[in-house]
Amino acid sequence: MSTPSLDELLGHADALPSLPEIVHHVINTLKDDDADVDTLVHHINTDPAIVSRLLAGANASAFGLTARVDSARQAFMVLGENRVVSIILATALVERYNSQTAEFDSRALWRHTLGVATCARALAEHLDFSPEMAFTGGLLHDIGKLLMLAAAPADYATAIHLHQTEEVSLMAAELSVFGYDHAAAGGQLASMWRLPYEICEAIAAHHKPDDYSSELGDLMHVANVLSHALELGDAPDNRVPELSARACASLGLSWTSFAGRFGEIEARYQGMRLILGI
Amino acid sequence: MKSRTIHLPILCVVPGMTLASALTDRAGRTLFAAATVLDAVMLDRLNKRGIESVAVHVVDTRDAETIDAEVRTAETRVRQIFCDSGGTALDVLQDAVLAFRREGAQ
Repeated sequence: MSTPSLDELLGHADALPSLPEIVHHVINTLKDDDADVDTLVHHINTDPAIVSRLLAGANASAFGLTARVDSARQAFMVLGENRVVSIILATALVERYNSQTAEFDSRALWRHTLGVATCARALAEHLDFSPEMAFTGGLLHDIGKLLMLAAAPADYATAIHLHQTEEVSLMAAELSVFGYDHAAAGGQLASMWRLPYEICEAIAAHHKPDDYSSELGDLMHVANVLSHALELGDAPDNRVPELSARACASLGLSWTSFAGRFGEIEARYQGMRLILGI
Repeated sequence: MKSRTIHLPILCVVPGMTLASALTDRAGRTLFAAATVLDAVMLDRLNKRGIESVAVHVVDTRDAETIDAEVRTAETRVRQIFCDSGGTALDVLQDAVLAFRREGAQ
């Protein structure tokens, strides 16, 4: 069987489980000023894995002053809404997409995407973007890799092998084998899943922001590079990819000013890893 | 006794630790001043405000030789992970990460 074109790959998108309903709900909530906690709690309670992570996180954070947390609603009170949203999104995705093959470890992917999401949230706070939208985009930015792995496993194994043995970037290896890369595949998949346009574009743009006109894409690109620079993800063969000077300038980002937050970013990332168990 | 500053996730902070810098909320309001010794009530408040990490002082028992070795290791690793790349924007980031790692190791 020949390597699938991008259209053919998307035609086999059902090889990848659909995006969890709770993720759609949270993303819609982010754009809805009238959204209420009760409805979100109702959705959370349908997913035991999320409830379990929330309670574990809330009880680990309680210092004997708060009685033992035993409901999602109480977890909101202890952890605060932003952290609850982060835990919901990350848990839903890590639990749903946990494929493991000889060549591909989805846990490593999720450690990396959590790193990018944490950097994206901190950059968004610094640059006055929506932190939650940036965090969500960060978690989903490499979803194209999971689609390529699920829909064309043998071809993707070839790309990974090429990347590991020929010392070419994974992007270059994907292009060589498929003719397109995971950013293009992920952007199209996000669009099929009817995610907000800015997230679809940010996923597509995260390696080549200069080919797009997307503020969130610029931010996602910088977050990805920063995550590699701070070694979030624990990859032993880590290399920092190219950084677009235009994207940095367009965001108005000064590293001198933002570097003061590097320590905080590392600690936030470690905290989320502890809660998520990845 | 010599101390150093480290950033910790909030769930790793325990009562009795001392803040290394003032803690502010997203709006820039000061929650606690630098050198505040955190107790359980304060930590509960920080959690409920969604604070995810804090900078605290910890005792530093390393000798000068160990610190030098850690700085050199950190510098080597930064140069290694930036080795395949170039460009002005990345050079600026590399300098920022190098300074951060040097400061963290000292």
